[in-house]
Amino acid sequence: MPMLSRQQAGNFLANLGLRQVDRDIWAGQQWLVGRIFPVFVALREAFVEIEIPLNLVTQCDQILLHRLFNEINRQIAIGKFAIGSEIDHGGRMLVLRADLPVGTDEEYITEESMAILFAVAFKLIEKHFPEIENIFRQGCQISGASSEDQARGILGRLRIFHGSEEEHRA
Amino acid sequence: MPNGEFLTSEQLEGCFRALGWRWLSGPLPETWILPFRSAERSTVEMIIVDNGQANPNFIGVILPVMKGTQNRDCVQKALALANGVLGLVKICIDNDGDVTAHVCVPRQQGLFRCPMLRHAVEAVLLGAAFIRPILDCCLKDEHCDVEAALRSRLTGGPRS
Repeated sequence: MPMLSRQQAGNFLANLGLRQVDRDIWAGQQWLVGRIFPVFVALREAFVEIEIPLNLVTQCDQILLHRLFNEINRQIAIGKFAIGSEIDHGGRMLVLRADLPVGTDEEYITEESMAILFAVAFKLIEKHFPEIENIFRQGCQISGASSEDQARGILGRLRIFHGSEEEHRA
Repeated sequence: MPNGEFLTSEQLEGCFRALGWRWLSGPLPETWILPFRSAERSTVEMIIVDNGQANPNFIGVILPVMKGTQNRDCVQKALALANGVLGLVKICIDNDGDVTAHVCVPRQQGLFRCPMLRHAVEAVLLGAAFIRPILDCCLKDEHCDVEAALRSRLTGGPRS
């Protein structure tokens, strides 16, 4: 199991069909659970990371989703489901990230470790995406609030909506 | 994970030595406690390393972060957001409310190099330092705005 240098690790990704899109980042796509997911691989100084955006954008508190992520993340050794950075149109993309630490630039990582990382990431999507999507579709929940508070929250949002409708008409 | 020779305790301790680290025996066999000075908190962080005890394929590097028994919804949102911005480290809360930062390092000899341990330790220290002020917001303020607390950490603004 020879160790690849960081440069060779990049060549390995290129041979897999990924395209270099930045100094340290390669991009591709993968067909999983009946849909296509973008796949980004970053060869950082301290770690290799696969990031797969789940194509689900959260725009509010989704407590059930946060709970599910924590439950899954606790049970798995490599990989984590998480809420990514804010995106241009508002909201945050849900993501899967799978990382492993690396050695040095000269003895960076093995092909085998990279293959394991891809396999784990794809397996995690196959196993957990349907449940994540299902819970995501349930929408927003208000943290720790009573049903009365929740109703008030919904009424408030309806008023905002009604207001914006009136503004729109005006 | 393919079959192969796993790292022995002696080899792992050899790595600690090569990296210039001190260590103590842990509470269980094949576990160690490594003290690291935290400049941010002016304290010593106790990192737990296990040689395949939690998962035979990996060396576990774990740092207890804090107790998060109150406002659990806020804490879980904070973790989901932090895990989306932090590289390598994963932060979770268990049923007892213990928040821990984790990194797994391949344990098979052919896949392992000592600097991987250094990167793992740096990542858990960084992860814990990053999340603590956000969790403080959750624990001290019932109406904590987690996203604002996260933004403040990312921009290096005042601590929440």
